[in-house]
Amino acid sequence: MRSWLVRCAPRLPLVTVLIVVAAALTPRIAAAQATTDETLQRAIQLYENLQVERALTLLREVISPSTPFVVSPAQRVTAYKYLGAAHAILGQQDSATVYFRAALERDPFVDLDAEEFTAQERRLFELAKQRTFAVAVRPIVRVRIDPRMEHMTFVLLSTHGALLTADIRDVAGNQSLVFESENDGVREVAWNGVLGSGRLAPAGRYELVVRGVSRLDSTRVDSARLYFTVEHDRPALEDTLPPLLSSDLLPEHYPPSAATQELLKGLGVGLAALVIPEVFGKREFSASARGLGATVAVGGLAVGVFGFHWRHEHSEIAPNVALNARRRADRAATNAEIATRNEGKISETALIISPAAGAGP
Amino acid sequence: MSVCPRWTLVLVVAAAAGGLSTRPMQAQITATPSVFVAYVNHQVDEGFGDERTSGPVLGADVRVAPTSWTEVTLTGYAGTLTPDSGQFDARRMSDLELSGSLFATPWLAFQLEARARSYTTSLARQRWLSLTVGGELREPMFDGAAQAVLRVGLLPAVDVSGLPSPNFAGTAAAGFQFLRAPLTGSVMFSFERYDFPTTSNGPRSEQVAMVTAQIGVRFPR
Repeated sequence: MRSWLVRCAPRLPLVTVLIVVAAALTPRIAAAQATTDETLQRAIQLYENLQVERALTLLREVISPSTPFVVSPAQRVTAYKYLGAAHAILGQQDSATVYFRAALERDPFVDLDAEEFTAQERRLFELAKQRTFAVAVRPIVRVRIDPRMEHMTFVLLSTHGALLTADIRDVAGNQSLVFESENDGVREVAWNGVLGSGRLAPAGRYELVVRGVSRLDSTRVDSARLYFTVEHDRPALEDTLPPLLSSDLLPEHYPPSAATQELLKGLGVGLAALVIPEVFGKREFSASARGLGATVAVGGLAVGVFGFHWRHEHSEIAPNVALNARRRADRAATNAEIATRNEGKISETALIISPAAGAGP
Repeated sequence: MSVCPRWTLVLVVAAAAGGLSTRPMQAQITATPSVFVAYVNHQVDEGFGDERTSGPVLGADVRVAPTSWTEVTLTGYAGTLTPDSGQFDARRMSDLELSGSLFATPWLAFQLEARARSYTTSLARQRWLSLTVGGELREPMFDGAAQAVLRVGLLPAVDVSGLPSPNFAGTAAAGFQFLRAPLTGSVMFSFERYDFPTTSNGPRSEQVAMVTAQIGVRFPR
């Protein structure tokens, strides 16, 4: 058996080796996280049973840089919170405040439930909040709203009293202020999808920027960002008719040569009246007939010259102008109808607001 | 079994009419009665020099357009032509014409015309019967308010009382037609030439030149 392995080992594909290694490591990572969670649960249970010293030991293991286990940010926040609470029970106020601040700095939304924590713990937690200044905005979930009667809610927070502003920015940098007020703690800000311009937010990517200036120390400022996308949910809009091209319209003016043609027609008749007696007539008779032809020839010249000037003054092709005007009017009427129908559809537009990738400061 | 030539002709004409009637009627029937005044110059050379008479004639015609591509015109005029010198008698000229036009295009028509004409002097009356085949060119001007007209024709059949048929007979005309509804008008110069066979007196030629001014009213207006 051993000799078989020695013979075949070099032939084992690399992929197979990697699969075996990955299969061996995956349960370990899961187990590590599970271990951290179990450690936290045991620590919380010890804390609740007032075995605070033992709880502190376990909690310190969780936050220790040397811990062999994977610790998620949420687990770390929970550990700091219970470390603060444990120190508060032991009367170590400074340590309690330090750990509470560590928890707040990592998650400003962290809070102490009045049913689970004592007044002393909560007092120190409030003290930590006074000493820590942070603003935050809670991540949103995908939501569909009808802007005519519904709104979505942004949840903002400042750890203590602050002047809080929140504005929505589009990719072009246009800002719409949605909130500006004094705030302390959690604040729900409603938004119905309308921007500062008074128009419904166009589909696209947006950023909610929350800024806070501490009322306890005006030099302390903080900000938070939330990225989201807006989609329009409505029936498909109809396209309006494209502008009429020159190929769609009839020529409205005669070419410049038209005046010359009028002149030539008149001259042609005049010339014909002169030429006919000469060409068709008997030579001996031509003199008297030529006189009559000349009469019409003069008339032809006059008509030709008049036609030349008249065409210069009347270069519009009236039937074509009328027909083109009718085509333009028909197109405008059709587009107006389409625009009316589209406005009806737009008024029924619902907004789908979804979280988007991005990170705040 | 032989077919009577007369019935053959009738069948041919009926077939032609049937074929033509299948073309769409594009316009209603219009009728245009009009009156005109013309100055006529009639010249005859019988080997004794230029025998020239001239004078005004008055006439009237009615043009009926059953379709946009056909026209039928009945024309009549009469007047007295006086000689330029005292060697010849004055003569009364009377003319009656019936012509039909078939438009191959809006600007080109083929024409067939039958004419009866007489020259009457104090001594005799000369009767002319002729058939003209020709074409007419109509070129619109002023956005259709006028037309430049050129007309050319041959007279393949001419019968003149007391004379042999001419060797050559031709006609040409040029002028303008105007339309300012319901009024119509025209100014035309027309010309006819007849060359008769040489007789003992020598060659005989006749020539008629005419300038016409016409005004009419088109119905329906």
